[in-house]
Amino acid sequence: MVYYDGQSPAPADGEAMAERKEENRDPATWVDDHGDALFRYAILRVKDETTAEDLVQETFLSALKAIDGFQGGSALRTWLVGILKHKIIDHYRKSRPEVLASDLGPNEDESHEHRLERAAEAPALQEWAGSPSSLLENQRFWEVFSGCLDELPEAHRRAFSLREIDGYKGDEICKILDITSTNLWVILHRARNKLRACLQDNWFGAR
Amino acid sequence: MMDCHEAARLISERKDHRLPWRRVLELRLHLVMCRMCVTYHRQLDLLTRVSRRAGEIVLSASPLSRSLSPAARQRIKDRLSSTR
Repeated sequence: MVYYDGQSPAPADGEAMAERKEENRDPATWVDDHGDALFRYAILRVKDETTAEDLVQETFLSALKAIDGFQGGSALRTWLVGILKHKIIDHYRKSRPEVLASDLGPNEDESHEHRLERAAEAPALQEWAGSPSSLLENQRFWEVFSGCLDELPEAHRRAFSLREIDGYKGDEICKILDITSTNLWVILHRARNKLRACLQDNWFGAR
Repeated sequence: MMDCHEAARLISERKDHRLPWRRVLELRLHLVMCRMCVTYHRQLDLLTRVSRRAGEIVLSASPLSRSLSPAARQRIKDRLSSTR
């Protein structure tokens, strides 16, 4: 089954649309058609593989229950992703990782953090080469990027993912993660710092 | 003058909320004189853009080579067909 990906011409004739709509109705094909895409979507936002698989399964089950309400106006995949998004947020709400005092406090010991000073020991920070699209065309960059995400503490990863990957606003994230905005800012700063250092070490400075 | 630590914190925080104009002014002043923090700023901006883009394209033909394991795929299929 071919989906409009924004590059190839959209299937315009009514016959193809009707055919596609019929296929959409057959859940037997869902897992093969959309399972991997949904899994990739989930694994970028949730570290644990089993959790990501469960979220994909729950998405299909919810879709199955609600299929009569699916208008077919949007692509089936878009509809499924919408459901998965909610499942991920629910998962964040239900299983809150422990936020360690050392993740937040003003007197935290930063000796283990990647600090800016570390870079100051070198003559200068290096300019990073590449654009988002050129970097993300590279499979090895994806591996490094998702590997770096996986190294973040869970609370940091969730905050970063909601803010930077999904573009949620601060107050929405605070509600989802049940933290104060001051804590959120600290966590996001730490997460960015860690990711920056990890990408520097494993990608931009490693070649 | 604001030190690099403080500047780095504000560079990050500015992405998440509005800073008092005084702080913005101090940060700008620091950035005029500190090339390293300017570079740091650019790196964080690229990180932001890469992350947003990754979230968008991970669904399409992204080179992220992760897929459902055969076991998980079968489990989900079984679960779906037993529910129908």
